[in-house]
Amino acid sequence: MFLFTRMLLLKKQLVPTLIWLLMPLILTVVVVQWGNAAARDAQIPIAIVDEDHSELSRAFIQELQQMDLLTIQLMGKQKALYALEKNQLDSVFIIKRNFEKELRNNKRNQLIEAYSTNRSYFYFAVKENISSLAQRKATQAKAAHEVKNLLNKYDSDIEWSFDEIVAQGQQREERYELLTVDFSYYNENESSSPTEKTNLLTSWGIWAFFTLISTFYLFDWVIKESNHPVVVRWLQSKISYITYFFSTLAVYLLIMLVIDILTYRIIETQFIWSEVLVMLVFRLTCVALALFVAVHLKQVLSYYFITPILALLLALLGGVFIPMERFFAKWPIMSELSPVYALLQWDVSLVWSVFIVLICMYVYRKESNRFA
Amino acid sequence: MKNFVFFTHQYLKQMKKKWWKLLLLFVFPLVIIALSFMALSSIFVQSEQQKLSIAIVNEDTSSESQLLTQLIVTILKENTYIQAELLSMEEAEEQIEQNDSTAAIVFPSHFAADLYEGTSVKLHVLGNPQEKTQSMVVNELVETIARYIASAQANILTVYHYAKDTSISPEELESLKLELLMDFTFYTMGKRKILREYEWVLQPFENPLHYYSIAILFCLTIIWSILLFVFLSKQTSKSLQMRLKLAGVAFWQEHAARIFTTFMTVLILSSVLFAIALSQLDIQYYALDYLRMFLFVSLLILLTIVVCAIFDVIFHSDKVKLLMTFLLCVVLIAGSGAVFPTIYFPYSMQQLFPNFYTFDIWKWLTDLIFEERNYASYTKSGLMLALALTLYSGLVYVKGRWAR
Amino acid sequence: MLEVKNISKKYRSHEILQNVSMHIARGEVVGLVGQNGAGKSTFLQIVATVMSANSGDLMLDGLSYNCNLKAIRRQIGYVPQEVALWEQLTVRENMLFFAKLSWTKLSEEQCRAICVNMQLHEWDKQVSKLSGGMKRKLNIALSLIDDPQLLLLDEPTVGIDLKSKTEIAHFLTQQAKEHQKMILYTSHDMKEITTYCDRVYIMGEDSFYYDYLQEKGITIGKM
Repeated sequence: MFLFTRMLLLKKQLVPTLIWLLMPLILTVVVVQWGNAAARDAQIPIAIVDEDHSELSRAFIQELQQMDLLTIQLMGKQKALYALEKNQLDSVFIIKRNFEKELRNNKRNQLIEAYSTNRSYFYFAVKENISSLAQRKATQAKAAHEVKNLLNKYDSDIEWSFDEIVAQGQQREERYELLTVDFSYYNENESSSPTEKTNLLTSWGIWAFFTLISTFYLFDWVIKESNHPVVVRWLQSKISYITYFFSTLAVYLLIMLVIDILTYRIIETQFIWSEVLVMLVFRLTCVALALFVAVHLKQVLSYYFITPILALLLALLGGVFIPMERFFAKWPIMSELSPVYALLQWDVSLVWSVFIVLICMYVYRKESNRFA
Repeated sequence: MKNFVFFTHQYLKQMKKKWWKLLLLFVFPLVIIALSFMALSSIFVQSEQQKLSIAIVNEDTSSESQLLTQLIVTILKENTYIQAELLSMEEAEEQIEQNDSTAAIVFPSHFAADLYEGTSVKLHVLGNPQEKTQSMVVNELVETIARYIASAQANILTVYHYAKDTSISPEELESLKLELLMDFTFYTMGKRKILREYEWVLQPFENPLHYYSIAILFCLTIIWSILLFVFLSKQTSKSLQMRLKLAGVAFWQEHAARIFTTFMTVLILSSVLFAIALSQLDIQYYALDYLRMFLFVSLLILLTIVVCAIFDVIFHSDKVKLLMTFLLCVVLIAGSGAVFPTIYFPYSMQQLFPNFYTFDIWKWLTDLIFEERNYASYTKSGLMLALALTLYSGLVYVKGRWAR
Repeated sequence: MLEVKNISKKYRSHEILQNVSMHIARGEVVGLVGQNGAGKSTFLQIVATVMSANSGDLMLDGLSYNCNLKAIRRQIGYVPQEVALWEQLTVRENMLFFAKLSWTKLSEEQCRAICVNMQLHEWDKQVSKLSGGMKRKLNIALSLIDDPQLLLLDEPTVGIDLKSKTEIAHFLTQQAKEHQKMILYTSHDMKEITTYCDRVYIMGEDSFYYDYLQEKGITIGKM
């Protein structure tokens, strides 16, 4: 009986409703994929000036070009520095004359000149990369040097050459993983790979943001129907408007939860009940928030206007766009301001759980007082 | 024209009536920006103030590894924001539990011996779950150090390989091992010497506070234009629409009044704020400079509103319209390069940015404000405004016909 | 039998109803007239349980409004002044929607019969595309679904053409006489009131209505 009437109303806007229901899932997948692709394509533009034109310098540049992060342009010094001045490059590296010669003589100081500006956001990372590559070259050269010393010292007649030793060092480095690092959190059993987890966190953050918006927009019926003159007709019907209202709420909630579980299956590889529970609590919080805003507004347009802003604020406070851990370390109370933060920590927020219950009671009272 | 004046008056009245909502509308973006700024600064500033505290746990009792861990502590201490301490496993765990340490680096037993032999060794980083971001930083750091040691070790093994074939005595060979390891590790860690660094100061960013104040003002102008334009939209019932039509009011007249009201309000507000901000800079501007900046700000606001108006005409559903408008806001700001330089975006995206009017206007504004340029070209933005207006009137015309 | 005794309604400091009493017997059609803003709609809403009075008693068939609200609501059909319909649905869907929610189970044919009785023949047309008069008819039809004993109509015949108006009025009187129902309605159409109502109540002190109705020889109820 109830479902029949609800379907009559929903039938006319079935497609938009479905789209809004699925929007968080679809957009999360799209944004994460696109974001990853963009992050992969996002490159740091630098220029390399080769003043040495030697075999070693060319090999060095070639190795640099294989680095994912960098877009390397080879150009003359004048041009490169001009582009840097115009803020078209992150930084400029100049391989000095005698690069090869110095390296072969076990000298490594100031082989490369580095130019950056106060707007080179990634100079630090680039510098690290380039200097460690150069350092590897230098270490290999040093090895050759040490070998030469040793052989001289013990009057050995073993045949050797600079290039051979360098090649051997390089081979050893590539073949054996001599020293690796593994990471785990204290008191957490699963030795999770940290980078993977951080990636997932962002995708749940994005999901949370879109879920807030979609829940808000799906609950516009609260305003539309509660302020509709037709409500008066529930006086004469078998079920009261408040029952009808909460039944509708339950149906929406049920559909949302099914979609949430589906979302969880798609985004996460494992199925952990506690996490699903957290998700459901988050969805309930979204619904409670939507109800809270909706019962206080009379116009759908202002509802549409306010809610995305609210969603943005909550997402920001929850640390979707900027990590807020440090911020919350300073003001711990702030972490309770947004339900998104608890979700991202896979935690159930007590404050927001209480909020859900209070809102339900509040809305129940408000709606049932209608025809008192 | 009479209608236009009438509606402008109506919109002004509407704004007066909802003045506190309007105030919220203007303050809200400020709150968001302030909040982001606080969060961002808490990340950077605190990491400098509060040192990362790292516990180093050595489970290898050999003298070589003692030396090596000492060495690593010394190297880590070179970083001003890191505090490293040698501790036992129990102590380290206790520190993490009490949130005194960010992470612990554990050197396994037989660490040095295995490293000499050239067998693979695993360093273990134990992160503090209460400080996830910081733990990641430590992990990155340890991985870098591990790479250096591995690189040094690979070359040492090469030297060792040759040394074995000489007439060197076993005792000498043993001591050579340690000597080489220390020598090479030190050598590798001193990689900074390779570079000779120069840092240039680019004009606009000389004073980050000035630069970002202007940048935030620029973004606020965009956000306000969009928010106010959306805020002034209202639902007109069918019967009222009919009545308006009978009174000889075209759809565009009301729309134009809305555009005009938004434009004037934001323009006045932004101009005042820009004037205040500019007076804080130590640069003397000529009247002509002010005029140029004023023109660019006007162009910025007008273009933004016209684009919003186009969205208003195109999209039928209120929900979609609003979401698209908010999305537009993000794209316009990201594309301007005011907040984050566009050079770091993917190449395919970078090529699009010069087509953004926000990009063009921001470029000219920074040139005018920070580099005291005596020349400005309005051609591009002007053309875009003409284009947007043509598109807008075309759409309104089509819609008018269609509605008939 | 509906009995209203001394009800008053205040809206903040503004007194809308002051000690109003009336009664309707079974089989009676009672009209309610008065100037705009005299409190006719408020009075109807109180009787329809949409609002509650600040003081006074209401009884329907011996049941007090204070304790038997649910049972009383079941007996009442209320036709609000504004058109309370789902604009996006068709006539059929509107009827089925409220038929499903009502106490009595009506088949689609029965629903349609109600509409046909009301001279509403567009069964599958969307409400938003109906004319104003048609909407009014559907507005009344929806209130008849539950076969209410007391029918309260707030200006039900505004915008309905003369032919339909006559037919609806005829239908209502027939309901009252044959099925012993109570009907209370407000209208500004004095001709309609004088033709169909058994008695008329006048809201507010108004000699204009009083003189007019007395001239026509209508029984005027005392409020």
